[in-house]
Amino acid sequence: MDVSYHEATETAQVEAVPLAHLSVEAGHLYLDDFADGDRVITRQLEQAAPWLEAADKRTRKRFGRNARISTCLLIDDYTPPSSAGDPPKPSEVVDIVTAAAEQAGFKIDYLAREDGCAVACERPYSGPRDQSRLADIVDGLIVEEAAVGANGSRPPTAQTGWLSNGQRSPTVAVAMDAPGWRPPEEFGEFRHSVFVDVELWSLDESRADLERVYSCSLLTAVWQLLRLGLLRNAGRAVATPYRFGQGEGFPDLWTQLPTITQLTPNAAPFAAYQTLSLLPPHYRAAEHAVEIIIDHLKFDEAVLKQTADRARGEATPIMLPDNPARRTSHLFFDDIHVTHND
Amino acid sequence: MPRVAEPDSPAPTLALGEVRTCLIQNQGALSTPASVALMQLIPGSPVSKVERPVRRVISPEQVTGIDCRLNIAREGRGRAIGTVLSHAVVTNGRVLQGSAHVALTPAEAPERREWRHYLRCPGVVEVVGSPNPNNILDGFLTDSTPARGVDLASISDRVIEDVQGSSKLDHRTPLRAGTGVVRWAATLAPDTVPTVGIVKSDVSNVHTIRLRGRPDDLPMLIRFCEEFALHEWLLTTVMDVIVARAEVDIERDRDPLESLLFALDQLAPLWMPPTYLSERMKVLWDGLEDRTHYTTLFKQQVTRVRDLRDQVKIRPPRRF
Repeated sequence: MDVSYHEATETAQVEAVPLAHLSVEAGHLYLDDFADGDRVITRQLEQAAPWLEAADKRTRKRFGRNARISTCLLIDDYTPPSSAGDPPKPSEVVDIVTAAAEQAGFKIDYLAREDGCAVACERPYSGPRDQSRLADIVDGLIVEEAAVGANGSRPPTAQTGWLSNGQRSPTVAVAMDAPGWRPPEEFGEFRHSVFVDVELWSLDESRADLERVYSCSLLTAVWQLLRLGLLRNAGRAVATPYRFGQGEGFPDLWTQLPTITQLTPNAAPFAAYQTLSLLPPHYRAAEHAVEIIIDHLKFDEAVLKQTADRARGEATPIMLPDNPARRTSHLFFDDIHVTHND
Repeated sequence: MPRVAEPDSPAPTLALGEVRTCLIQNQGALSTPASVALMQLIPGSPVSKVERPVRRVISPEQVTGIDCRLNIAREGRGRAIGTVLSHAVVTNGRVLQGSAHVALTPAEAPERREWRHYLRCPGVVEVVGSPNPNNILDGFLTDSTPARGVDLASISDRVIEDVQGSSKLDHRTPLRAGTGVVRWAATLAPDTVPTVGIVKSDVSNVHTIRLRGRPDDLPMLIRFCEEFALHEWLLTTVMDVIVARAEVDIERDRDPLESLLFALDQLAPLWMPPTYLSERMKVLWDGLEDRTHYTTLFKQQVTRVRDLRDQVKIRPPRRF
């Protein structure tokens, strides 16, 4: 005799998300960057184009001619625009982006907005029912580095809004030559440390409810994790790309837009085994911070396993590294300009 | 059930834990959705819920990093680096448990590695140095307050505090009852038949358990300790708190009916030995019953509660 009894709610089912081989971020722009129309975006996509071509070539060589590659662009609507005028509307930005991409010789498949990384919106005009507080979710997955001597008797210092990759220097206020100064230490490194302290959020003192203002580093971590297909809300997929139907107009406000809008039909999946970000040099620090954040996350084992199994099951089987941060790659442009003499 | 190790990493040889059990600070028992909301200690992480035979809602595992020396009995030194897991359990919307546990494996490197290395196996600490396992177990089970070694008391206590402090509770209590503490330590080795040794401490509401089992028994052993903690707390609360106070109340002409009914309506239905979980659990629990007659004892107490209730109903106290 063999009797079994299980309840479905005992273990959460983890929803799978479609995965491409490569997700290329062709740029990360502020709303202010559209103040001059298409000047900034055109330059950014022109710079990105040759690298995108190279990445395309390499990916197809590695994973076969039918490798799935998608492109995306992140618009920062989280930082309030500094210019006095009204920010451009989503439909205007979509038109500018589409035209600029065409001029650069490729397509932008997905347009994402950074505020939608703080709180994911699944569809236009979404309310609390189809929103997920992704920044809070990622913040909740952070396991802080244990200080030497920490035995669990004190609560983690997570409430400070800072995350470091090692042991902080105990007396930072004291000058280096003062007795008692000890250097900070990055663990697991040979001899010399690169100690980094990342601000995850600050409190908006101007507001009575002291709402958290998330840092670019944390929101970019959410963004990279979405592109790696690793975020879920209680097992459900989040920020799934939304495609506007024919005749369905874009909302006028950025906050009414879904987190990710699919711009091209038949695009390869948004999330991918591997990500590549083509960015101007000033994003380097934030992207390093992202790696540190990802290094401190406790991922859902089921999500990691699901992704690894899918990769192994591809026509050209792929072995993913167990550290998701090793699935991201970056290319930072230089600031060298060529002067054309007419 | 917690994952204890990656398939390619060495199996743990020891595990340590602590379980605290108390009443939820809420006037009424919580509904299922309220229990689930209360157990959402980490946003976005799934809460586990089972309705039968008793409603048991479990929070996601919280991860706490540690890097400290072990409290080792007799001789030896060891440094433990890694993470401790802890979770909360609500049973029938009435009883709250905070459970912290950690598995020990020998460290491969003599110094601390990068943090990602330890996060690959949540709930595992690597021990630098090679102290005798028995000395680690004894040292943990006899550690003082505040702890000199791994402080699972504080971690499990914080789980309780976090939940009891929630704004979702009304912070009123239908019964003044204490918190039960169960501290346990397990030796894990392949081909071991599970064994359990329980010692009731001379401090009230404190028990220590020594267990043995296979490395893959660990989730079962953790659950055994949580179930023991729950049942032990129920028995103590009904016997030493409700019945004992009711007898005094009747003697002094005070009305004990409310707490007697609380025992019958809210606590008695929670008695559900975990023999339904698995064959190995059943063997372990049946062994416990043979030694302690816990279920018989509890039934006697429930009968006693009914008798007292009937007695109060027939001859109501004067000060009513």
